[in-house]
Amino acid sequence: MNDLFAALYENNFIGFYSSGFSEEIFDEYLYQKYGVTLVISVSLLLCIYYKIMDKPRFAKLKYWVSALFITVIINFTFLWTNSEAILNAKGFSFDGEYMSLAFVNALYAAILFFLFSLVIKRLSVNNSKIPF
Amino acid sequence: MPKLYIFAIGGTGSRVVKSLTMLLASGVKTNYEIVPIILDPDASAADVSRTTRLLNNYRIINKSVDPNLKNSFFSNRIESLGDVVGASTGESISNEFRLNIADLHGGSFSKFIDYNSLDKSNDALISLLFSKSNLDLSLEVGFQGNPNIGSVVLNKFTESIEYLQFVQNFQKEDKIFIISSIFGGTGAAGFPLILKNIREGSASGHYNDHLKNAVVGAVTVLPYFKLDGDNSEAIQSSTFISKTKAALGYYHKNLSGNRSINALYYIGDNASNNYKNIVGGVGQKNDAHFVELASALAILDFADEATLNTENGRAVDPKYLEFGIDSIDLNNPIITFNNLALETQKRFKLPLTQLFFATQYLDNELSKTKKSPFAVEEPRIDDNFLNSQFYSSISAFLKEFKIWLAELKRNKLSFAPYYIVETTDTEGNITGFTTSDQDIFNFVTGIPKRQRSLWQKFKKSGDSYDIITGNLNSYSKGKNFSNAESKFLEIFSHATADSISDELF
Repeated sequence: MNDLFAALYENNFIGFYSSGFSEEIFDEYLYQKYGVTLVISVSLLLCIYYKIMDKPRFAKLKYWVSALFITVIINFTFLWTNSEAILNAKGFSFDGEYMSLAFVNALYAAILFFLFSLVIKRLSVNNSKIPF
Repeated sequence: MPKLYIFAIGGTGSRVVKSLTMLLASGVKTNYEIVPIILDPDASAADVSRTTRLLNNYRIINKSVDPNLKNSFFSNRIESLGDVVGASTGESISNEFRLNIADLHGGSFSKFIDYNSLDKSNDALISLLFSKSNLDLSLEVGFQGNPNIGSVVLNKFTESIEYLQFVQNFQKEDKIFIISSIFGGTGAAGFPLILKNIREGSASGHYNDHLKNAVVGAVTVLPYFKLDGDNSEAIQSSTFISKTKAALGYYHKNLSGNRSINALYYIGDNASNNYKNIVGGVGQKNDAHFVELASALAILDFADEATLNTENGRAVDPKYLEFGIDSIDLNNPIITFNNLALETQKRFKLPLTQLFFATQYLDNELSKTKKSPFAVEEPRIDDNFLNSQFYSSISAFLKEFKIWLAELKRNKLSFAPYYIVETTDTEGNITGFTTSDQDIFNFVTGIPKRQRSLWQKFKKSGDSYDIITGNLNSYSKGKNFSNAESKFLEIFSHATADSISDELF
């Protein structure tokens, strides 16, 4: 699974690769950790929006965008702070790499949130027409 | 489906049919197609034109919906006699709910009976039966409280092509109901006359045994209002009681006495209200009254009654019934649902409240929820739908519904099942009502919202209109509808019922 997520995070289109940093992330199985966290957090936020907040007053784009924003912030912040803490503890010193990978993670969170919405919204009674 | 022919005579007849139409619109069901036949010589009477307009809108709405649609607003079929005849024989007669009386084109009563060409002996007889003011009476605006004139003029109806078609098309399982007031001219004259002709079972030489043995019910409305004015007025309410006594004596001998009628309902009030004394025409527009609503309930009661029977033109075990409410505070005589007997509440409390909430929702919320799943899913409830003839008929009907509710509240005795504030034009005519901005589930008089636990509050869709929107989305999800019109009526009917069940009773 670490290989799978590594391919995702390091691809040439929207991924990020920096020799040294990316290898350490891979060796520490952090791609797997952040990938699983990404999928779980997106699913959880979508379940909260489409099932727990399944009420007419939340059937507005602004609430969906808020949930998306929260998901993005969670994944961005978690990757940055967690990876920095782990690699610093191991004695590595990187600079802008943490933020770059956090951006990639945030971007994936947004894309995944949108794609999963298209499926999960069908389970909702009141929010099924959000985002469209 | 068998038919219930309703002869609605005079202004009271029209107003009772209006109340019945409101009940049927709210989803109250009978096992009959309703065929109202309005008999009123006054073609311009405002009460008649309001009721026919209402019936025409109902018919448009009802014809647009899936005939298999059950338990929904407007699902009980209402047809005119012309619709019935056209469907069964292909013949074309008037499609109107109000039927014309032959040879009645205005003019005086003397002209109607061709008084000037009578021979000496007939002239003497007529002069004995009718005063000069009777003979000079203009028939353009009805019989002005003169049943002796009404009985002559209305007899013409039984010679009409419409009555002949009615006789020929009447089926064994059909029923007849006659609405009349006992204290005026038109109804008091028309009721015994129509009943007599029904029991003869024939018209223009055509005999129908089913008609002779038809199950016939009637409501005779006792005095429930007074009229302004003095002795100079053509109609004086001081004569209402004496006319009622005379008519009751006649009915006792000639209707109940010879078992002509299967079920006769007596409904009245102590006439604590005063109406403007306007003799017919567009000005004769009385506020809706609870007595008329109770009379409409009598029709529903009659429709449900399966034990009535007729043999050789005589009713077997006829029934004579009255209507009563459960209680009332005499210091503040306002009727709410809580004042009605349980059987009456069961009959229309829920459906009327459903239509009330649907009306509120359409007025105040639908424009904000046009992107909700219930509206966006096919068939769509979109701007095209809201601009359709169907929706304009619904809007026109519901406008009359609001006026009807507000009039019931303003009248004495007041029927005020909802907290509404009536609105009027400069002449004092009711134009509708307003409500406060609070939660709509606080609008039912005397029935508080259900208390909820924290968990229940968390689970529910929200408050006020959100609850109805949630139930609209929930009911429509995954369902197939034959067309937008059927969908509209079905989902609003179910969503309001579910919302009331969740929040009120």
